[in-house]
Amino acid sequence: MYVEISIRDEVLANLVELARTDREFMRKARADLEGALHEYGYELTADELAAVREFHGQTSAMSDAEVNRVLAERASSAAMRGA
Amino acid sequence: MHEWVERVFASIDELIRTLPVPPDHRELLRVHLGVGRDLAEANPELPAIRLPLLVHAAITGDEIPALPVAGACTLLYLGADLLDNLLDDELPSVWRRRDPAEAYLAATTLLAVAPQLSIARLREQGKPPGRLWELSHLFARSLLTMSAGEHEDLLFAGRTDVGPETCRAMTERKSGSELALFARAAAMLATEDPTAIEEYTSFGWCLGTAGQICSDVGDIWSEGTSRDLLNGKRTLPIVHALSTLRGEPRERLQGLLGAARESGEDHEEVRTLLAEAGSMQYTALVVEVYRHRACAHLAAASPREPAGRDLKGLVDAASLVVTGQETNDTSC
Repeated sequence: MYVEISIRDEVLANLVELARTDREFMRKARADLEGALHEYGYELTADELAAVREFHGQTSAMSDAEVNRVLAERASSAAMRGA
Repeated sequence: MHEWVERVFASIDELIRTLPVPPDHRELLRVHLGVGRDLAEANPELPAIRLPLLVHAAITGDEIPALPVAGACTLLYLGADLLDNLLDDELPSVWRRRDPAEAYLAATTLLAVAPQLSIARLREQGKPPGRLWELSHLFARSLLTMSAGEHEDLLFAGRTDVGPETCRAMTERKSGSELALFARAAAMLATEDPTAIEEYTSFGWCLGTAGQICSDVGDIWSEGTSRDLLNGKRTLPIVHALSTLRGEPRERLQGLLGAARESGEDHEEVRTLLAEAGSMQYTALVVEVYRHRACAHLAAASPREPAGRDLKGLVDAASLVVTGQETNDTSC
């Protein structure tokens, strides 16, 4: 049994790098996420866009260090409940 | 103990009680069933138990007919769990009084033999032999995929040339296929509609992969020593950092990963380098993509309530970004 799942790892990795290093991009993304993605040449699939929207909505007001701290806390609790 | 956990373990107890083997062998199999019972008591949402029951209820409105399938899934899960404990040298204390060879024997029986016998009990519900053969074959094929994924996981240890796509494919085979089996087996029991069966299979595949990646991140970022770093495992955050960092930082990470296999002393520094590489954020984003895909497959299957809501709860638990209360997700 095999289920084909296509995820564009390079696109997601590049986007994470852009969000962490380009303040202008983040400023624009906070105002208009989809507009900023389009302007920087990102044409995301529906799943990718939904994931980015969720991630952005939860973390865009945080610093890099805060995002890592929050994700680490959630990862620890996920591990404890055996996710 | 939750009602559904009690029902599944009662079904398993009945199966073990009637096995045509000497009492000592029955007792051997019961050792790890006790471990599983404790685990399920602490985590009643354990997918091996919960997922088949919920999928069956989502299709038919009733979870009771899926008890033998949930029993089969739980037995397979416990066999795989015991084998993992043996490979990682982390046997629960109840096994310490016994020869490890006995634990290997119990793991093999739980993994490969007991699920088939639990499936065979569906004859009592009047299921036709053709359906039972299909279910039996499904367990065999899924176990093969899981085994290939576990093998890749072992082969990748310590390597620096594994890319994110290869790592994800390994995780899908190792863990996505296991939850795909749990969901598909219940769906096959509940309906003959091929579209519904495929949607629930893909749902399980995405849920299992997302959950495993969350658990891998949790292993690295939990307090103290990481078991995966000690074992040289190439989980997604590590693979991302190795494929993103260049020059001196990459060499430093490679050196630290080597040292991290000897003791926990360097594990905090590995975590710092992974954070600097953005590996946590990348991994959380990948998990979100799997989670949204799981939601989309669940929505396409049009589950009955309240099982649909409970299945959505399992998806929300497999996220690094949101909790069930916070989700903005509208795709489920």
